[in-house]
Amino acid sequence: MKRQVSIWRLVATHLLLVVVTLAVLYPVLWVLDMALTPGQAFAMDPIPWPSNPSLEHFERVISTTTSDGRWLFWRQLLNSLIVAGATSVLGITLAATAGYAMSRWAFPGRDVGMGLFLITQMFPGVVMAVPLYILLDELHMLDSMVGLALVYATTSVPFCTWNLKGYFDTLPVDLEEAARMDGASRWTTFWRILLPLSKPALVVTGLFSFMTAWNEFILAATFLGKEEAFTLPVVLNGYVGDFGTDWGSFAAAAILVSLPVMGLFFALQRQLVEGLTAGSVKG
Amino acid sequence: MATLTLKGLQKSYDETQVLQRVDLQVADGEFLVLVGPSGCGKSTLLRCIAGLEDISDGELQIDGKRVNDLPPRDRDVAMVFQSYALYPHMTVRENMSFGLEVRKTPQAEIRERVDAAAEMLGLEELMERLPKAMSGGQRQRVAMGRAIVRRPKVFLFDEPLSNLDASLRGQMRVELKRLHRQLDATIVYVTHDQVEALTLADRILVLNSGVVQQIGTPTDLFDHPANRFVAGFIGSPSMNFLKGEGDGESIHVGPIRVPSSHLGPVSLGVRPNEVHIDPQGAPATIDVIEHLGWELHLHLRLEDGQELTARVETSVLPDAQAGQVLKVSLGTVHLFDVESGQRLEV
Amino acid sequence: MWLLLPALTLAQSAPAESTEPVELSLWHSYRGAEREALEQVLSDYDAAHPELKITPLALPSESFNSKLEAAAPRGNGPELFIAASERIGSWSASGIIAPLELEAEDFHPVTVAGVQWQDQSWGIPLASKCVALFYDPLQVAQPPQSTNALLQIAQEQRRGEGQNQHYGLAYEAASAYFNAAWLHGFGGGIFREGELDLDSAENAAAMSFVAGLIEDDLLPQEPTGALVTQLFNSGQAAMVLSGPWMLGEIEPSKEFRVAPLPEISATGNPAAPYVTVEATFVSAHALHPELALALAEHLASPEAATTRALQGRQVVATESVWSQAELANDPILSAFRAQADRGVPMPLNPEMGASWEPMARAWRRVLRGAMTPEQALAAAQTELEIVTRPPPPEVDWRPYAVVLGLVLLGALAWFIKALFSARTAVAKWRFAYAYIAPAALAMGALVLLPFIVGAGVSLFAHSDGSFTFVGVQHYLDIALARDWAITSPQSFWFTLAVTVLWTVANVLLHVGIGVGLAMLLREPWVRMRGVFRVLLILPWAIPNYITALIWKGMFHRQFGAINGLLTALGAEPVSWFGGFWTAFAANLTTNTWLGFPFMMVVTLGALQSIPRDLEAAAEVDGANGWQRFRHITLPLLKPALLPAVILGSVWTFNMFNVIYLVSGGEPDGSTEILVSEAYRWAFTRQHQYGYASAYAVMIFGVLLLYSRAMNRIAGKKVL
Repeated sequence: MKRQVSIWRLVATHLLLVVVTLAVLYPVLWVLDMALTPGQAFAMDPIPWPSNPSLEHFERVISTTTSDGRWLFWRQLLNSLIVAGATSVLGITLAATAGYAMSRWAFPGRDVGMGLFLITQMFPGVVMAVPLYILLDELHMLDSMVGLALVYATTSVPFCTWNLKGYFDTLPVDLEEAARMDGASRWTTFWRILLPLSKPALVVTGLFSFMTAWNEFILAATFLGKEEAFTLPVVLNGYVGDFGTDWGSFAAAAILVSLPVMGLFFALQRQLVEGLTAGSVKG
Repeated sequence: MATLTLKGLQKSYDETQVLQRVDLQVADGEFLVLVGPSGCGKSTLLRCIAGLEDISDGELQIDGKRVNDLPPRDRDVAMVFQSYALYPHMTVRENMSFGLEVRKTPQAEIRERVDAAAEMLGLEELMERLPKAMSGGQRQRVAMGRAIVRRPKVFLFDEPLSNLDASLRGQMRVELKRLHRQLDATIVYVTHDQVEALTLADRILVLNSGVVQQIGTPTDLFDHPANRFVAGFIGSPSMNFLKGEGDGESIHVGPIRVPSSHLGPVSLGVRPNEVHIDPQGAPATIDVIEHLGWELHLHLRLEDGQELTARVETSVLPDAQAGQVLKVSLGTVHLFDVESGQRLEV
Repeated sequence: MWLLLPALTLAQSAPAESTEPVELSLWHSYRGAEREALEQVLSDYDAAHPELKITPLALPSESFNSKLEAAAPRGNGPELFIAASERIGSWSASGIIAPLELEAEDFHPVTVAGVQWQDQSWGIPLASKCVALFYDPLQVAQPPQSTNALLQIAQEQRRGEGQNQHYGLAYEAASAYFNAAWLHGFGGGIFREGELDLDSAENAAAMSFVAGLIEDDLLPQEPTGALVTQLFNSGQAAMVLSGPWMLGEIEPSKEFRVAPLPEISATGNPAAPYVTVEATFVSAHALHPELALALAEHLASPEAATTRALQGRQVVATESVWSQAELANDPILSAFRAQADRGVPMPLNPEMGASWEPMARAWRRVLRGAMTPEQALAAAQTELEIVTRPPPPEVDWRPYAVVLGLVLLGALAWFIKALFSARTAVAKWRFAYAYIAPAALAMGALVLLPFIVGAGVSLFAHSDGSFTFVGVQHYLDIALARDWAITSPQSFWFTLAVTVLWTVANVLLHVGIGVGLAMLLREPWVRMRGVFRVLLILPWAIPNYITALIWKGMFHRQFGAINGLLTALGAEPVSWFGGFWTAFAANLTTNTWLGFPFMMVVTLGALQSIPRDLEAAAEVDGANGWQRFRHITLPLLKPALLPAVILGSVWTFNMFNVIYLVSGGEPDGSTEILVSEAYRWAFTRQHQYGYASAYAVMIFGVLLLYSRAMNRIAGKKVL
C-alpha cells in the first residue's frame, strides 16, 4: 500500500534532516579545515573552509621516521590495525560464547554473572591503570600487542555480551534443536548454526571492540615501551604538547585515524542497524 | 527401524506436572499419532522422546535400551519441526547433508543418500536453493528430507502440517502416508487435528492435561471412546452430549427414550450422524443451519432446552429453514458417567 | 709460551667484542625541531660508540609522568630520561632517580638550581625554558622597557572589533604560569621563605595590573596558546608573551624579535618569569648507570649543546657554548638567555605542583570580575592549604584485617553454601560454565582484580611514592565534606549533584534526539536515507578526544564559531565558560553530539522489528501521530531502549574526556563531574592516589545503587 505523504511533511522532514546533518558535520569540517590549512591555524571563522588548502600536514604526519630512518607511520598504522583486529577477535570470542550461554541456558548464577558484567562498566578507569600495569608486567605482557588487546577486549566485552545475548534471544530455538536432533554437538550447533545466523550482531560487536581499541591512548602509552610498537592514537596525542599543540598535524593525524573507522561504518552500516537489536524486541 | 517403549514416563517443571505416568509401546514400523488439545503435553512428550527435554521420572527405551540420559545425538531419532527449522544460511542440499556431515559420514554416501531422499520427495530441482526462496510446501518436504537421509530409528513429527493451507495439508497427508509405507518407519506424530490423526495413524494416543486418555486404533477410538473427552475430541462435528436419566429400562432425554439398564443420571453421547430425522421422534427446533454442499449440519434445540447437532444429507431436507421444527430420534449412543466421564456400557 | 699469551687473551676477548651492544633506553617528550636535534646528537653518539645501542622514545607529554612513575619502580623504566625538573622531589623520594656529581660551574646558575634538591644534584641540566616578549618589529620599533611603556603600546595598537580586533599585547592571561612573571615583578610569588604565601599584597597588586589590562580590553579574551600564536602570525597582535616552544610555530615569512620582559613601573623590578629547567636524569634502576651517566654528560657537552641550540633552538644550559659567535650573536636565543638570567627558578617543592589549579582558578575569578584579587587569593590560599594538608595519621591496620578476614570468610561460606545447595543444577549446567569461563576469567583478571587492588589503595594515603595505612579516613573526609564546605564546588556532594544532572540531561537528549531521528529515518519516502544514516553516525566514528577539543574551540568567547553564529544572528556573544549554566550547556552540547548516534542506531534496529501494521491499526482507531508514538511505538521500543539507557547513563556518568577537555571544570571547578574530580586528586593535587581511589569507589557505589533502582523501576531484570 502506497500512501500519499503531504508535501508539507515531506519538505519539513527533509529540511530537518539536512539541518541536523549539517550541525553534525560542522565540527568534523573543522578538523578537515585545520588539517588542510598550512601553518598552525586555529582560526574560528564561522565557515570552516581552508583558504589555500595544502596537504603538508598529512605529508608530515605520514612521513615520520624512526631515528634510523624507517617509516614509522605505516608501522604504527599496522600496530593499530593488529591491536584493534585482535581486540575484535578476542572481544567477539569472549562475548559470543558468554552471550550464548546467557541467552540459552538458565544455569545457576547467570543473573549474578550478567549483573557483574554490567558492574564492570562502572569502574572508573582512574584507579585501574597502575594495577593493570603491574598485572601485565607480572604476566610479561607489557609491550605486547596481545596484552593490550586483552585489556581492550575486557573493556568492550560487557557491551558486546549484552548485545549478542540480545540478538541470540531473537533467534528461534528450533534451529538449534533441529541441529541437535541432527546429531550436532553443542559446540557444532553454536559454531555452524548460531554464529552464521548472527552475522550482523557479530559485525557490530566486532566494530565496537575495534573502535574501543582503535581510539584508546592512555593505556597504550603507559604499556607500550617502543615507538615502533605505538598505536596511532598515542602518536596523535604526541602532537599535544605541554606548552603548545601542533594543531595542523593533530588534525591531519586525527583524520587519518578516523578514516578507517568511517570506512568501516560506511561499509557495515546495514549490519550496524540490524545487529544492534539491543534486547529482545523480536522475541 | 525400532521399537519405542515408555514406562511410567513423567515430566514436571518445578511444581507442575505436565506429563503423568505415560505408558506406551510403539511397534517397529508403527505410525503412532499423539493427539490432544493445545497445552495437553503432547509436544512435551515428543520432546522427551527426542531428548530435548529431560525426563523427570520413568523410563524411555528405544529398541529395548534405556535412553533417558542419552543426548539427542546418541538416540538416533529424527525430528520434523512445526516451523520446519531449516537452517536459513544453508542450501537445501546443505540442510539435508548437515546431519550426516556432523556424524562424519563419507562424502560419497552423503551424496547418495541426499539424492535418494531428494528424488523420493521430488526436490531434485531445488537442491541449491536457500530456504527463503521456497514455498511452504517445499520447505516442508526439505524438512522431511532432512529426517529421511538420516535413516533414524524413530521419526518424530511435531505438527508438521499446521503451517500449510488446507488443500496442501490434504496433499501432504497422502504423501506422508505413502512415505511411511515406503520407509517402513517407526513414526511418532504430534497433531492437534483429529482428522490428521484418524487418517494417518496406525494407533492414536489421546492426551489431555498430561494424562493419557486412550490408546487405540482410529476405529477403536471412534467406536469405543474410553471417556467423554476422547468421544468429544475424536470425530467431526463433535459428539453431542445430552443429560439423561435412566430408570433401569431406558434412559430419558426429555421425550426421547434410549433403551438401557442404567439407573440414575447419565451423560449420553451421540454422534451427529446418529441423529436421525424420524417422524416418530421427538420435536426439535432448527437453530442454525450450516450448508456444506452434500450435507447439512443442523444445530437443534430440544423441547427441554438441550442442544444437539445433526448431520444429514442435503437431499433429505433440501429446504430446511431456521425455526422449522423437526422430529428426530437417536441411533447408536454412548453412555458416560456424569461424574468421572468414564464410558459406561449401554 | 710467552708468545702464546697475548694470542690467548685475544681469543678470549674476541667473543666479548662480538656480543650484543648494550642497550640504553632514553625517554623524552620533545617534539619538532628539539626532537630532531636530540636524535641527531644521539645517533652521532651511537655511531661513535659501537658497544652501545641507544633507543630513544618520544612519549606524549601527557602520559610521560604517569608512565615513568608506573614503570621505573618496577624496573621497566628507561636507563635515563629527559624531563622538566619539577617533579624531582617526588622522584628522588620514591627512588626513581639517583643523585649524581655535577660540575656546577659548567652550567647556567638558574639551571643548576633547577636540578638541586636537598643539597644534592639529581640531573644534568640541558636547557631552560621561560617566557619572554615576542614582538613584531614592523609594528613595535622598540620593545617596552617598563610596564608603562607596554601599556602605552597596547593602547596605541588596540583597534578593530570582534574577530578582527587588533591587539598590542596578547598572552595566555588566565594562566598561572604566564602570570607568574608579574607576581615576581611585583615582589610576590607562591612561596615566601619556603612557606605558601598566595594572599600577599604584592600578588594582589599583580592581579590588579592584569585585571586592568582585561578591563581596558587590551588583551584578547580567553586566550589559548594556539590563539596567541595565531594572532601573532596574522599580525593581529603586535607583541605576545610566549616561550621558545613558539619558535617552531611562527610562520617562516613572519618577521619577529624577542626581548626580555619589561620592568614593573610600580616597583622598578623586572618581570621575572618562572624558568623551567630541562635535565637528563639517570634512573636509579639503571642497569648500566656509568654508561647512562656518560651519555647524560655527553648530552650536556659543548658539542651536543651546540647542536641542540642551533638545530633544536634550545636555550642550552652549558655555559661554555655561549662564547661561540654563532650563539652569542643569535638575537633570539640570547634574548631568552638574558630572560633566564632574570627569571625565577621553578620551585621544586611538592606543593608547587598543587598550586597551579587554585592559582589558575584565582586568576580566572579575578579576570572574570567575580572576585577582587584579595578575595581570590585568599580563596586560593585556603584551597591550596586543603589540598596540601598533611595526610591523615596512620591507623592500626589490624582491626581492618580482622573485619576483612571475617567478611571474606563469610563470603566464602555463603558461596560454598550456595554452591552446595545448587550442586545438582551446577553439575547439570557444567557446559554452560565452560562457555562463560573465558569471558569471566578475562574479566576477573583484567577488570575485577585491578579494581579490587585499586579500591584497596583507597585505604592508604599516598605521598611521594610511599603509602601509609589510614583506613576509612578518606571516605569519612569525603562523605562528611570535611575538607570543603558541602556547598563548595569541590565537595563530593556538590559534584555528585552536578554529575547526576549531567547524566540525566545527557541521557534525555541522547534518547530524545536518537529516537526522533530514527523515527524520521525509517520513513520509506525519505530520500537518501542511507546517506543521512551514515553522516549522522559520524560523531561515533571519530575519537571523542579530538572532537571534544574542536568543540572547545567552537565555544571560544571571541573567536569561536558558535559566538560567530550568534553575532551573525544579531545576538550578544556569550562567555561560555564564565558561568556554570553556559559551561554546563557547552559540555552538554558536545556530549549530546557524541552520544545521540548510539541511541539512534539502537532505535533503528529496534524499529525494524516492530510491525508497522500495529501503528496502522492504531491509526484506523483514530490515534494521531503523537498518540501512536506514545502508546504504540514507545512501549514496544522500551525493552530495547531500557538496557541502552542504563548502559548509556553509566558511560555518561564516567565521561571523563568531554568534561576534562571542554570546560575543564570551569568556572571554578563547578562543572567538574566525579570522575574528573577523582582524576584531579590523582594527578594534579599532589598525587593523592588514595583519596582519588576512594572517590572512584564511591562513584562505583553510586552507579551500583542506580542500576539497582533502575531494575526495580523497570520491574524486572533489564541487564
